[in-house]
Amino acid sequence: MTERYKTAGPDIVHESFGGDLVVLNLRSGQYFGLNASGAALWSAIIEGQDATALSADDTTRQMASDFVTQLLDHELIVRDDLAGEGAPTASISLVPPPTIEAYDDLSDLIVADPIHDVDQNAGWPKLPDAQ
Amino acid sequence: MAEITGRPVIADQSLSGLSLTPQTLLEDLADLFSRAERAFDCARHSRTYGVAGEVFSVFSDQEDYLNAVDLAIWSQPPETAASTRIFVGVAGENGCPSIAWRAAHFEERQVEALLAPTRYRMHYFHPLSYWQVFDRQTATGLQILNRADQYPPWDLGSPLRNFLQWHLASRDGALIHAGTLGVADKGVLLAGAGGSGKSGTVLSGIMAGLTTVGDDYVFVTPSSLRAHPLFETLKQDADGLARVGLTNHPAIPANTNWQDKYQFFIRDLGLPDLPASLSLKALLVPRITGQARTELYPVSAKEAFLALAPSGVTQIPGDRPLLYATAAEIARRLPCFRLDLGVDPDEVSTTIRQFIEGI
Repeated sequence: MTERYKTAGPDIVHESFGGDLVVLNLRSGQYFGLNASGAALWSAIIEGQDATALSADDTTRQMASDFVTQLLDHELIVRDDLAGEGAPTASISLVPPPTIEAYDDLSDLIVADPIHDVDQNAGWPKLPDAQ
Repeated sequence: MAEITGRPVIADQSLSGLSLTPQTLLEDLADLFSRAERAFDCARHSRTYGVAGEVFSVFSDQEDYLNAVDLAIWSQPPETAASTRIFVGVAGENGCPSIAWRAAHFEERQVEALLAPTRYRMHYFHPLSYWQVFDRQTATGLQILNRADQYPPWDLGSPLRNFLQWHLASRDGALIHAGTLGVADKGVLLAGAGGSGKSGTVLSGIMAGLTTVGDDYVFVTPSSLRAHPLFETLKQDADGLARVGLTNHPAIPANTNWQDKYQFFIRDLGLPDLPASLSLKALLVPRITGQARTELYPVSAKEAFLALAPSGVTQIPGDRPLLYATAAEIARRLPCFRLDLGVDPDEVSTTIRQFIEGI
């Protein structure tokens, strides 16, 4: 069974620096650093390649699976059940192992997504009296 | 800066009360700009600023606000007719529409993503009902306040900043939150979060004879790697002023701003003429170390990017993906260095001068 993914929408932006990647989730304000192996996996995954076939043996397959889980946990990718089977699958070297580092010290710099309840009649930002 | 006065005041309030909803946002914004035409016609004052090669005309009844903009904007003599016009007004007064958000939630990123492919940009600072809306197709901006004195506390340090970004985005560049220092035409960007020593380094540098095109936001074109000035504003705490002997300088106001810093302007420091732009040669990431001597070490583009991008991406709504990508391009194209600051401002400035002259 194949597993295909895509980035979690336009809030996910990334930039490459040498082999490394910095990914920003604009919705949460969180920055993530991916090493070269992680960046290669990221590129393959968001191109729609089958995530279960990106590595050559059981050990690296588990690494790739764990990495995908981390990307999902950080809400950087989502499952793409509508993707077709046509995307090519390439084996990726996972030496050194893929890593993803959350730059938590930067996340407090963004308040990109304030959500506020409103009084339906008065309109936002008036808070409902009950609050 | 040109000044026009004597426009009539409109008494009727029929333009008040435009509702915006996520479902009808594009139609609502088109309606807003249509209604706002009268506000431009009726504004009693206007100013024209030449910024980064573009000409911005600002119309308002709020003369005090325009006077504050005069102080902060780094304006050069306009060489062409205005390419952009901006109205600043109080909701419901003299033809200025008022706006209300009519939805259960306001999610800024959701609204940004919705508007990203369209002609419009929008910012809503909800605690003060402060709106900024821009039509990129007609280069028309509206800044609508709930009351004349209700703008965010940081606004007067970099007034109209979002409009500058939204218009200048069409020019292969973006606003970058960084300080600058230069020697003749060659310059460096200094990037870092608050407390990194960036502003103190810029201030000590210009007092030691280096040039600058600003210490808050600059407009950078990555293709040519040139930095253009936007604002004259400098901010420094009392200790920082004392370090460079500016404590009793007439440019320093009596009171501090919302950050407990003294906010003042480059033009009031009596410096020699400053450049219209700088050719960028390096990106420096300053760090206060307490060590005796200033030292520079090469760092990766990734490390420099993480110092350069976050504050600008945070502070400027509407174009965040572009700001992120532009900061990355700048970090990739410039040599990047960590700047470990020594304790002597003169020694810091001398080191930076020698670095710029040698690069």
